[in-house]
Amino acid sequence: MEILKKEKNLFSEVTGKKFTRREFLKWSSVTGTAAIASGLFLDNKLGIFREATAAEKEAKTGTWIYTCCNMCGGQTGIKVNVIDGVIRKIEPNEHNPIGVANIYNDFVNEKSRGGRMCPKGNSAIKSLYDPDRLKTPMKRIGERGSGQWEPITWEQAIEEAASKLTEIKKKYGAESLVWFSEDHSFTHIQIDFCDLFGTPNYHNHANLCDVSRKRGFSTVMGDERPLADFQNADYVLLFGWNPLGAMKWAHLPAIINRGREKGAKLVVVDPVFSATAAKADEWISLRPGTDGAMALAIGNVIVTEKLYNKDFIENWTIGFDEYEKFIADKTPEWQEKITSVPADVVRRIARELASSKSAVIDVWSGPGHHTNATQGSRAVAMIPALLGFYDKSGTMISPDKKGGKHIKFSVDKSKAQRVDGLGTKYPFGHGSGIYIEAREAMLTGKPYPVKAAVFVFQNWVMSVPNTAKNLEAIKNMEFVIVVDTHLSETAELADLIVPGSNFLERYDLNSNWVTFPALGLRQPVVKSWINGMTEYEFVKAVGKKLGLKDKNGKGFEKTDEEAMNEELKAGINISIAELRAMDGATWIGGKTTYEKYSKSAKVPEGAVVNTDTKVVKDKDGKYIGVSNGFWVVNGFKTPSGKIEFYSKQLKDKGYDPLPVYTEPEDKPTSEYPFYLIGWKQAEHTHTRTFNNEWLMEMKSDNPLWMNTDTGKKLGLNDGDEVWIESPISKAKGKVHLTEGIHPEVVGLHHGYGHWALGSVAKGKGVADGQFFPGKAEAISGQAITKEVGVKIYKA
Amino acid sequence: MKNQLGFYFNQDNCIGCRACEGACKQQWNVDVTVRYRKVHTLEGGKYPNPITCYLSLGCNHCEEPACIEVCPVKRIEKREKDGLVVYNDISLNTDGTLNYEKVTCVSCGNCKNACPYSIPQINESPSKGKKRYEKCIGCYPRVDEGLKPACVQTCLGLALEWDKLAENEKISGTIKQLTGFPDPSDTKPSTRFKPARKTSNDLKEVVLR
Amino acid sequence: MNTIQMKNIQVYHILSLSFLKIPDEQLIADVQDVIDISSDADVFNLKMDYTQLFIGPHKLLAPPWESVYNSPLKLVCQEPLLEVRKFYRDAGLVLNTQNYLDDHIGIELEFMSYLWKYNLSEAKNTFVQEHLAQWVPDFCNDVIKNAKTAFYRDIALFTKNIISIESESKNLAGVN
Repeated sequence: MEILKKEKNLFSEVTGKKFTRREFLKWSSVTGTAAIASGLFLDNKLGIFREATAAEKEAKTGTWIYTCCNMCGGQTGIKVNVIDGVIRKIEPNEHNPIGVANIYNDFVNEKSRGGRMCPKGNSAIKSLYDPDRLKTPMKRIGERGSGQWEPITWEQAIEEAASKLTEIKKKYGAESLVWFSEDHSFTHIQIDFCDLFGTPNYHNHANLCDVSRKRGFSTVMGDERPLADFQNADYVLLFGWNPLGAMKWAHLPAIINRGREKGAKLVVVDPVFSATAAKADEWISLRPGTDGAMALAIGNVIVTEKLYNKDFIENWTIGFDEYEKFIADKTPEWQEKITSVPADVVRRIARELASSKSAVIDVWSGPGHHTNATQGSRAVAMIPALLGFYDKSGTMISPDKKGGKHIKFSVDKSKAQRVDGLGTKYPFGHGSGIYIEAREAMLTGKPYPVKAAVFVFQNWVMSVPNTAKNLEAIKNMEFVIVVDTHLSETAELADLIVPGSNFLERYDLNSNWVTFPALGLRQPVVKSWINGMTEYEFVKAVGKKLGLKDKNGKGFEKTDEEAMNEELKAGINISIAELRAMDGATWIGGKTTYEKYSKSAKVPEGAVVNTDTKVVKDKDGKYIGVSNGFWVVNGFKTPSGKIEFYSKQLKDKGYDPLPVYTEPEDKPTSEYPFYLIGWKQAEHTHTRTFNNEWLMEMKSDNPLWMNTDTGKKLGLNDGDEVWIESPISKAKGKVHLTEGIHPEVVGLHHGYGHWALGSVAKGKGVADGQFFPGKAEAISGQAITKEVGVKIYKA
Repeated sequence: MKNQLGFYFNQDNCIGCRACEGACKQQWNVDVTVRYRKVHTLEGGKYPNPITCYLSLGCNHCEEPACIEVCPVKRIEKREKDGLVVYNDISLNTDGTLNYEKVTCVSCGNCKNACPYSIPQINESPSKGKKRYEKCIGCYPRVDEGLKPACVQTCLGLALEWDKLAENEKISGTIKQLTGFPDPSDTKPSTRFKPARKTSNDLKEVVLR
Repeated sequence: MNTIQMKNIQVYHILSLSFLKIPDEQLIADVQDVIDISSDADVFNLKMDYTQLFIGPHKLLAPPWESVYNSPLKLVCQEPLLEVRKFYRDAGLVLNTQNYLDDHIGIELEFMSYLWKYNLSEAKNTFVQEHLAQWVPDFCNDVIKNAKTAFYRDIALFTKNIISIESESKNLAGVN
């Protein structure tokens, strides 16, 4: 290219330098008079800017806005320092009990000391402002999984989603759409969408989490989620629950430690020396999935030594005789062979429990993710029943929940059965569905074809056990939408990826996790920096585009704020503006109440009393209580109104009415001699926090834990590279030799091993989901994520 | 020093969650590789009676800090009013973050080498200002406003507290040294401890875990 | 308005557009009208290149925001964003779009075009010194290193050079 002299001169004139080509490529070719049609900014005097208003010109000072965290499902109360629309810092919100205490009096006494936040909440800024976040809807180009994406507008994304879903509906029926989502976050709009679209196949996270615990407790004492009063307990016995590591609510460590400071004894039953076990007075190491056997033996000691609460059993339980007979041979010696826990230890613990003034006896997702989970949870839930340790201070308390009310559309139930057998094959399944069975349908097309899948705020590929099957199932889909903040392993396989919102950009109502009525507002603290839609807005927009309407011609019209406002009004009769103005944007609706089961009231009008069971139900069939001839007593929300040692409802559906112990189905074998389990730690949530640099600095890897002696026998040293191999997958990892794990067990912190998600997450650690066969528990339908045998050898 | 402030670390309550590390990072916009506060994990014991405990450490704001004298540019000072050991070459930005643009540090590492607890850490490639050593400053801008340090405020397990050293000394069971914490006689650190109820003498720091 | 001023208004404007907009035929033609730049790829390939550099969904090869380059946390929406926003406000302006952050390379370049247009040389010098010169070289190097098309490599090289010249010749920039 020839450079004209006058242009060289111009360059020198502007820059004061001698012209060299290298120094300033192509400066000379600026023409200076071209008409630029692409952007119309120049047409306007101020271009892409406009004149600032007087208010906008003022210096910006920071404000604090109250909201709720959602780095996990714990919904901890937080306050956020916002300067000029940008978040500077997040701190605890002492007005919200989540993060302070779960008992009303404790909350009132402790709130002046302030709330608390976990490492994830403290690292939220790193997720919110992560440049790796998805920024615009994108459409797949080329083969599924080829990694080629074309950015499209939100309008195009809505159009694309609507037209593809219409096509699928026409070809295969509405029920061929399966939907999976996180729970407790914008679920109502998604349920509404499925209802109006006509598919019964909505699923959410709970099925991967704690539905076996839910069924364990609900079939025994009628409440799906009793909460532990750690702070006031005399004794705490936890089976496979790690509240100091897999913490969900930021107040858990504080209330546990306050309890310990007051002298509570903490006993943790777990194959792993978890963060909670590390603080325990006693760690009981046992074989995975055998907790139920130990719980039965505790029952055996309490019953045979007549240490139980006779009054409580007489007044508030049924089926004790059958239980007594059943438990007679479940001796501490019997369980020792199964669990490896010495018989005398079990005997001592049973006696200690029985002589305690109060005790929390709880079970969660350790044993909860095994093939015998529900009966195991039931065995545990019966121990407090023997001792009357329900709904009293320092025990397991039924929360008095009040909050927003989901106002559903009027639609006929879909004619199609659910594809996952919920309500049929799984009469005791949970509303969150049966992931494993839904996946089976995606793989086999049975009981009917599933052709489209929507995943919202959930990394399904890494969360559901048996990764290979997940990948295949998604490949079978004709159309896949993933809504998420990052390009997860699931999003990689989508046809359409839609950017999700960060919790600091959206609304939600959070009314769970403490024993008294309380509700915290989650509200947009900042505008989405990607200028995206929230999940609510996107789902609504697709629904509108599809023209979905209910029987009364009502469709998706409300904004998320309006919808939330209506739910609040219907539930607790306050407006969103009122809630926002409350201290810490948190509503407190009452105190913790105890022994609610014994309280009575007048039989309400229109109520129906069952002549056999004396159970009183309202005109809609909803449980009210038990009639004593004059009053209706609250009782427990089981079919009999009492705690049920013997469950007729289980028997009626072909399950064992008593909490039988059965061996885990996928135990180690001679070829795969070690139990493989997984767990969570405080630094991470599920599989979704692994692109957060701060959290990854705190915990960047998940070496395979192995007992030191076991490692020595295998000739392994701490830090060695090993192969972890199960019957379905193998992967390389590093080994951490520790005294803190059962010698027959190896384990991985769940959530690592990403091959997508983001640049920080990629390639760190081993994904545990690949090793597990991926079964559903027979009663609750719980996805089994901690049961398989593996072999370990030097890599 | 009469009004010396200091951390109180109740090891029995520390659950090793690292919320303190996160709160510190947020407070001072500290990116990865530099940790003003760090939680150390210690393991010991023998199956089935293993021990895991934690040690969360920021600057100990020593009564006789070793770092001050060895600094060739004299950028470290002990505050008259509360004994906090701070830098004299940083200021506060309007958004409350630290401004290191006029930092005088020559990155000699003397402070880190002199500190028995290896608290100062090098920030190799800061986005603003030059390479320098940084450390916990006891959140003095917060403290001056009557707030507790960020790590103390967020602590999930009631493990970190903050008060006048004289007050912390009065708590029953208070000791000056925990396993894993170097000899305090050299610099007289202002941190006090309550030990975990279960401990052992074979504790080792574990990194890979 | 003299030629240099005209040129600079247009150059900054077209550079701004080339970073703000997903490329199409029109944009390419406009860029080539102003700058003699190679077009070695078809629109599709340019679009893919732009997407991978600045949009995602994979790790951005050149995150187009000052905050990512010029803040301790290497995130978006950090102090530089507030600073440039303040800079715009002090000039009496606010961004008239929700689609971009204030410290997006395209917005900062558009602001340069504005500063040239209204001959605000002092503000321009400060803006270059405090902002563009602080991150544009690194950003452009990332584009140059990672772009698969000569088009974006050249745009980045051009941008890098023009900023380096602005920053070195601050006293000359206001020549009329």
